[in-house]
Amino acid sequence: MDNHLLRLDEFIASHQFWGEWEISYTDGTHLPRREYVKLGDCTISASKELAQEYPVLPFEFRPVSDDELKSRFAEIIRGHFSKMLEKEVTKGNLSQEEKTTAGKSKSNEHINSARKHIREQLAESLVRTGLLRSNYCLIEGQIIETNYHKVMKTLSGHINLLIVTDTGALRRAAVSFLHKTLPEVLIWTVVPVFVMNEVQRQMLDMDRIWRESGRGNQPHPGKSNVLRKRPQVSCISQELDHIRRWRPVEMLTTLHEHLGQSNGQSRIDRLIIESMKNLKRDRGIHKGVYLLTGDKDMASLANLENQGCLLIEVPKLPSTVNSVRYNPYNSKLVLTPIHCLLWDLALVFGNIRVESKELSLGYELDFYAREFLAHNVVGIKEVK
Amino acid sequence: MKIEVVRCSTKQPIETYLMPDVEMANFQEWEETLRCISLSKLSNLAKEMNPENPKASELMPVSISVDFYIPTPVRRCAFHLFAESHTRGEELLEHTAEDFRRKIIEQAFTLAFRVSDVFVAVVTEISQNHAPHSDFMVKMSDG
Repeated sequence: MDNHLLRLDEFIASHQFWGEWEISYTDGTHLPRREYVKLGDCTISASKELAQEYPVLPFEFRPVSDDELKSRFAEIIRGHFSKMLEKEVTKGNLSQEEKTTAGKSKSNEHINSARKHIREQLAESLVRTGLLRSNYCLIEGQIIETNYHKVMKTLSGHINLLIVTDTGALRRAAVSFLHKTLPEVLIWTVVPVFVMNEVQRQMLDMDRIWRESGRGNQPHPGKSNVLRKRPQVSCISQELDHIRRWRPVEMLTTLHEHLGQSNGQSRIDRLIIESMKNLKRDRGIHKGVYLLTGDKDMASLANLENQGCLLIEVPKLPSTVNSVRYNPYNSKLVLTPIHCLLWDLALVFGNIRVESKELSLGYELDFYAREFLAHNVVGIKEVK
Repeated sequence: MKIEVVRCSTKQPIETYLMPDVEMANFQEWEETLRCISLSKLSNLAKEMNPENPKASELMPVSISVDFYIPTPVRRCAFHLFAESHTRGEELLEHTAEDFRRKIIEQAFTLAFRVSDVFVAVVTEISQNHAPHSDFMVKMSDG
């Protein structure tokens, strides 16, 4: 069946979900074709009739457990990769037993890596889609505030906020979160060009990994770190697209001689902080300017140099997540459509399948369904 | 229903959370002794909340405002397309179709929630905002 390329709004309007669904993924860089790994289960406690009346319904998501992941990856490695791994780790005169042991050890290493990457990315996906709230820490001068209500109250005390973001904050959709939570505050987002350099570098890296995997024909179980790299391109692009549609976003350019210095993370951190200081000095703004980052070290560095900072931390992945959240800052219930979760998972995991055995219905969402890496369309097809 | 968070050391309430359409009676298995409990216990209660409980599973339109965690431009397009798809094929006069679309969009914001969903959402927020749980108690009342 052909892929339909849909935007997120089209997906929400045209596809309804009710009952029980299982979500799984496959990725040609580290999984054989047609081998899917479960990411979790969803329950929408509503009838078909209700689903056709309301575009958005509450749901519960239960992420896959550690044990299920370990067992599934062990099965895939046993079935497809064991001989390849034995060959890789053993050179020279080793007995069959030694080869098998070395192969098993390598397998376990890949299984643990994959499991860690998947669970990390599930937590980040839940944060981006508003299903899990990040912990916010406001660091200004000598004050470190971790109470969410007080942090939001401090930020809302400014009529305007100027937020300088790093890649971590963009990847976690922290700016969108602030827009949603503080709608009365005008937020001007500044993205230092070094952040875009990093996105560009990751894009090239992703191309290389895809080529090395023979465009999905030669997967290797050790390549599950692609699950960390892909969101640096896909999710950051989506975040920038979303925020610039309704609020100002500025790409902060710099002297061209500095661009050549942006290799290595510590240099990038240094350049981001210098950009922030220059920005404040050039524009004469000293209040309401914050560095938004997901990196504790970056936050500490910014604080040492007397720059206000908002640090976001992703909580641990819970065993169950409810799509209904309560925002105490504005006393509203916040509801995330299941479509947003599925969409985000496709941006991270490449190709996801969502199936209901009970309804004999299923869909595949494919991030790579079109010619070039556009973040705002995904290929969706029905699977039988 | 009102949940007041109290710091154990000072016995002073530090934050109050309101759920206008939820009552203690919605949770029929609760006893009087649950009205003032530790935050850890409240957190566990929410985790163990039985979705099969008929009172807690009751759907009710809430007077708490509902927001959707989608960028506003995307939400507007999505709801408009959804409303359009409901009027397609119907033989309606343009102004009637426009009214019908508007009603469908308004309806999306008046979704009924399960009492347990609202309660779990509030407790999740309280648990995340106050740590360690052992330092806090909660007082629950209808109010």
